[in-house]
Amino acid sequence: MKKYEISRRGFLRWTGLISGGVLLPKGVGARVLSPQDRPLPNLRSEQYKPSICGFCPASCMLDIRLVDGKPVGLGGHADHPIGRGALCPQGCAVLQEVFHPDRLRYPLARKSRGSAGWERISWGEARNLLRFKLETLLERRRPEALAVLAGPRKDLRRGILQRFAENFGTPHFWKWDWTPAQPPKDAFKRMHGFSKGIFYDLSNAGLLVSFGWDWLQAFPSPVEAQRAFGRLRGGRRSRIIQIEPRLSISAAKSDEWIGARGGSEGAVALAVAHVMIREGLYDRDFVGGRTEGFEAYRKIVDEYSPARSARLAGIPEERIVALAREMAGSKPSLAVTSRTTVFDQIAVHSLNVLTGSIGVPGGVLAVQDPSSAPPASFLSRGAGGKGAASIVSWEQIPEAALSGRESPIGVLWVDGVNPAFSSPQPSQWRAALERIPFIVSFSPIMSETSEFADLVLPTHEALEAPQDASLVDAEGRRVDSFVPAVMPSLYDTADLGDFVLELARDIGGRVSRGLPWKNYGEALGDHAAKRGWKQGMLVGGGWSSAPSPVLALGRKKCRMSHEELARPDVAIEEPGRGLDLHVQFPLAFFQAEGAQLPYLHGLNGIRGAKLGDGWETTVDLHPETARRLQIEDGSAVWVESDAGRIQARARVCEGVREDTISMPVGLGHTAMGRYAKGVGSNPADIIPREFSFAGRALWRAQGVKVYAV
Amino acid sequence: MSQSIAADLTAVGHSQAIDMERVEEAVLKPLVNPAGWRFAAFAWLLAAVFATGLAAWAWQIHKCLGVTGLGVPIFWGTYIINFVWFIGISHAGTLISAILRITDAAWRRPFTRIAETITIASLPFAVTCVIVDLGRPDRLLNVLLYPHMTSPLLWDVCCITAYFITSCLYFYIALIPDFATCRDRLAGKVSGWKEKLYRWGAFGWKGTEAEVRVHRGFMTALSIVLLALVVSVHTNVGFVFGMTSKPGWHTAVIGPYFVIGAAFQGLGALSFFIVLVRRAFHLEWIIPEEGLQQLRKFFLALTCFWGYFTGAELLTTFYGQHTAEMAVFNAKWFGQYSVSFWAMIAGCFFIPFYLLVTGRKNIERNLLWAGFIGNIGMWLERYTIIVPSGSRPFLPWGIGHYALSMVEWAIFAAWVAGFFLVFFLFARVLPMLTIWEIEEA
Amino acid sequence: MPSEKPSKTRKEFIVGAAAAVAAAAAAWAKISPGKKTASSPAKSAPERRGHRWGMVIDLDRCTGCQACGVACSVECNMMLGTPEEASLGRVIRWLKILPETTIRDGRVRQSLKPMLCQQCDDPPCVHVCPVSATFLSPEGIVGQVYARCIGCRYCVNACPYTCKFFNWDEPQWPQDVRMPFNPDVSVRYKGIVEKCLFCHHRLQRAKDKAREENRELREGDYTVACQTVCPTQAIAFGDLNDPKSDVAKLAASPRARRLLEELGAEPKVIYLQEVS
Repeated sequence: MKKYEISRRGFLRWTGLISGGVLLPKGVGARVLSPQDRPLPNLRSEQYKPSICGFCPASCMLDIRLVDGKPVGLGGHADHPIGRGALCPQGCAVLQEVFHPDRLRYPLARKSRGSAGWERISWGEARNLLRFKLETLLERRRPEALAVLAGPRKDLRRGILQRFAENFGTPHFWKWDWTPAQPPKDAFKRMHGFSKGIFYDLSNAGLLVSFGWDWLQAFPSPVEAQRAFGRLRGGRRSRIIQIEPRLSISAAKSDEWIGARGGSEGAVALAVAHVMIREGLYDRDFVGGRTEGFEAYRKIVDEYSPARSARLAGIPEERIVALAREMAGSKPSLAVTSRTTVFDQIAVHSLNVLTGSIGVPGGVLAVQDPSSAPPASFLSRGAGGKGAASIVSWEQIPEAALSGRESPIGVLWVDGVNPAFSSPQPSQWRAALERIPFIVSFSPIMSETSEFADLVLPTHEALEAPQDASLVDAEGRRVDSFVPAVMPSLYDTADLGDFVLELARDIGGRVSRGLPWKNYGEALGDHAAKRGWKQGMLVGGGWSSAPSPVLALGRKKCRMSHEELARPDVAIEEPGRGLDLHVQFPLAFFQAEGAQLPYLHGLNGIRGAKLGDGWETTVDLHPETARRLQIEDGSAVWVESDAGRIQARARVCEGVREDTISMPVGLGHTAMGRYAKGVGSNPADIIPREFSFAGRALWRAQGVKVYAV
Repeated sequence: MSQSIAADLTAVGHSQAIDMERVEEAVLKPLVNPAGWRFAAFAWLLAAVFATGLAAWAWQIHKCLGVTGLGVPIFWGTYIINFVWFIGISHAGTLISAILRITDAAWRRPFTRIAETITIASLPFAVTCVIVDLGRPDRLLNVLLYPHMTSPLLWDVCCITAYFITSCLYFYIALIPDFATCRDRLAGKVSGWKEKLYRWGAFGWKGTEAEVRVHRGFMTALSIVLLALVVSVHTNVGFVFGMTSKPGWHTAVIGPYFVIGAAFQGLGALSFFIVLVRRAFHLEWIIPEEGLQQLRKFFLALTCFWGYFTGAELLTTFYGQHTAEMAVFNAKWFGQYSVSFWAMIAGCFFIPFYLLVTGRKNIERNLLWAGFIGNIGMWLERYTIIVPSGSRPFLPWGIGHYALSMVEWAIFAAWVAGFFLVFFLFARVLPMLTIWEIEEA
Repeated sequence: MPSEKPSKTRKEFIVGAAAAVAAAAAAWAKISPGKKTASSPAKSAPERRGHRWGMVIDLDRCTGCQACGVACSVECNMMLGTPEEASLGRVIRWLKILPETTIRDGRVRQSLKPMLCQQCDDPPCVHVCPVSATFLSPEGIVGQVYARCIGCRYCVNACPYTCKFFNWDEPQWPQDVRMPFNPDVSVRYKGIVEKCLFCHHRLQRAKDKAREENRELREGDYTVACQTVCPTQAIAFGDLNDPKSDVAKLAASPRARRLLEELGAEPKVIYLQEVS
């Protein structure tokens, strides 16, 4: 017995049929009306080639689709251990970077300092100009006046550049490392004696507690972070707790969000430790056998009673107590945080020690870091930088350049990064750049930093040159990858490796002896041989991956008492003094980059209230705060700190503390091509220049005011 | 002058005694007399506004609909509002003529021609509103090439086409005897093209009994067809909205509600123009006040109907308490659209209601204002149906905003101006009262 | 003459009309035999043979990273957009995250849903199109004929998910930006409606390839851009009619929900709700 029901479709079809039958002969109707598949164009040649994404140091392998030799699409390379076929939003937009209409097409030299005029020069001229400046430094016996700020990639080119700097004799070589997306390396260093190769075994954690780290948005390797989350959610489904003043993506995706004040993470962590110690919940065996300084640590922890920390953090005391009990009860529990103040880092990481989550799966592990530098035979000849660096970290270049009568940096070499946009208070950077006598900037697009350079040199985009990467993935495997160029370079660009090697040869002397290869290709051959790459890898691209030897982190005793713990880098403010500015780091603008790519613009954080929010900078306010300040949802406001003020659009939402406002970093460029320029504003502009004990900039501002425009 | 009016007024008292000679002379006077400078200036002004709107449309065709204030999630705006609105105005003619002809209401006689002229003048603007709203007006013919009959929009195309053709036919057939009158009486008094028009238009009408019988039969038959079409057209316009699942649109009452709204609005438009023509051409003695009083009562009844339907619709929505529906409901009552909503309630109900209830004395003034305000109210009604539902989608995509752009204003103004222009030009060429019907009485 | 036998004429008319209605009803019954009984995502329309492409998105895994959205934009030659267009909601992205903040028991929660065309089995947009420009393919993909669309935006209004998009302006791509466009996907222009087609071009390519290799389409031959890049593997895609496919299995999960199910559009994008 068939059952008939009148569905809307049925009804419509029925009426349609009758009317259609009246109006059209049936056969004709069917032929004309039902659309046919349009056959796809015949492709003369279609092939897939691997490439490596150049946006961030994670170095995911791409699978580029080429039609008639032209890249027309991409995906993640299905088998590569880092991405496993997946990509992050930036990686998906690689082609927009390659074919950006505002890419620099040839080397540029500034006509004169202070002018905005540029002229085209040849690569040879560029090299000579730079050589002259560098030789002058050598003649004056001031090699340390060369400062090199290298890009974050872990590849041979950065290795060559590093070697160049070391052989030149400067200690001022830094790899750009963006602290919001880094684990607490300063704590690792202080507690374990080293930081290289230490990683969180996220995907095996039994309980993951993040102290203020929006790790789903800012993790050294974004794709691996997402995948780890997927694994935490699959199978036994570990609990995730997020402690953050704002309902970030990580908080929204966690099982529990504890909205503690920004900057109180360390105090909360110590209160958790306080409860664990008071109630005897910590791992006594581990602490007894493999730590030192526990008693001193305990004394510091005694000061952070749950009641006190709860007051500082603006959260209920019971939540801290419950958190401590849960952390002690779930094994392995993992406490993570990003590279903020040394105090916060140590306080949080000490919880991993107390729960015995050091050197165990699902806790904190370490592997031998494979140096990405050139082969050892070559390294031995490098003399290294002479003397101690006078500048603690690259983030303090402005302070160094602006203090004293003369800039200690004579030549600043910037390799593809843009600190004049992506550092707190970039105006300081701009002032410093004006004071530095000579700046060479390698950049595919005219960036804010490049605008202050004397030489702007466009290097190949990732797809236009062979790429290599050597790193440790999130599961502790050593991964070496190599891909040949996918396409010829579109413009008069050059290979950074070739450029540095030629420059070294031109300069001669020790610098030249230290870099004996003719070009990147030759160096690569050497590198491949030393790393034991298979021959096929150099031809069609590929990777080798092997489990890295795991270092027993706990073998060496872990230091628990630290001066930084007794005396925090930044005093923890008592609540009640104005608004805190919490800065978010949307994944689309990972490392504060990516605004030049239009497909990323709409992804500026996830918004709920209004359409089109992604295309401007918003400031999140709690409804109560908005009411108090008489600010309407969607209205234009000024956000002012001691460092300055910027405009933003107010977004009233419950997902932020009442004493906190939150803004995303990524927009607000004054350069970087047509799509980025003039869109939104940059919260970094109003972050005061404050540094941790490790000399790293802190992304926080307090006593912020918000008022209507 | 004043004496003659007084004489006219006495004549009104004895309608039987109306002298057909005088009627014809008075009705045909505007066709003979050259237009004054005021009329010419006004017409040129309207033409200029219309031309500006056409230029705006050309610009819009060139740039596409980005020049409007529309976006996501408010996809339809002024053009669709105006479409429904003009269709509503067009209902004046058919409603009065058809219903009243069928029921043989005597007081209708002087009104029918004006009513039909309103229909004929407004329908082209209604239809073109939809074309203006298309992203690809150049592909308009696809509607015929690839018709998809399940689409209420296509039902509309069918209904409105039929409605327009029938209305034109109706208008013309009602004109034939009057064309003959013009032909006979205005020979030599008007310019050549007008003479030719009247001669051709009269179609050899002699006024024989057989002719009259066929003519009356045809008029009655067409009235019935038109009545069906009137209902179908506006029901279908309502269906365009009602057949989607959009909150605020998807309601069974929307078809009848649109019909009542259109009837109300059409009557408003008619009242407005009747009073205007009566004043402008000094036809007070032919269009008697009794007729206006009847019109007022009819108008009042429709105002009440409108209020009833609105109340029923709102109460049903409120009692349902469906989340998505209530978002729209609240936006109308208290939120973003409360100003237009309450202005609509006032303009469509309270103000006309008051004016019409108290209109026994100042009948002309009150009818004029009730018609005018009623029409503005109905524009707002279409606005509060179309825009708020758009601004509150089912899923939390955010709240939409819509403000008319300059192009939309220009086209809006142009279409209104065009409508008035066509109406006034008709008034200069065609007799504005149905002479044969008045004669019949 | 007809006036002589009016009754017969009328009778004839009634008989004729009844016959027409009966014929139409029979035709209707033939078209939709016993369709739509109790429908859950798992067991809807098993009668239909052939493929029935669908997607399952696990919201518990999704982190809202939006790689899917960018991959979609790149794959399907999406417009670029400007802040001005964004402020009017005119920027077209076939796939975007729909965030929803709710407060339950004093706890603030935010859900993030990747939203794309829900590929309804009973698509409201198709019914209202006056020119047959949008249609349901035999394999369940809701298509759009750009060359036929007149831009009336009726379908956009009818879509309860707000997942169809209108080109308000002529999209602007500098020549350079056009270079890496996907040759398989038509570039849209002003005045027409566009939508997610489940990477229909990939289905065509997969079918061509299977035909060349003289075999049936296998699971995994046909993938969509958003699914392949998803780092958390929250998106599964495949044939809902194939009981062995991942999507069919996931669609049977007790967590499976479809958006606005009460509207009866029968979407084939199925969401596995968050565990909380």
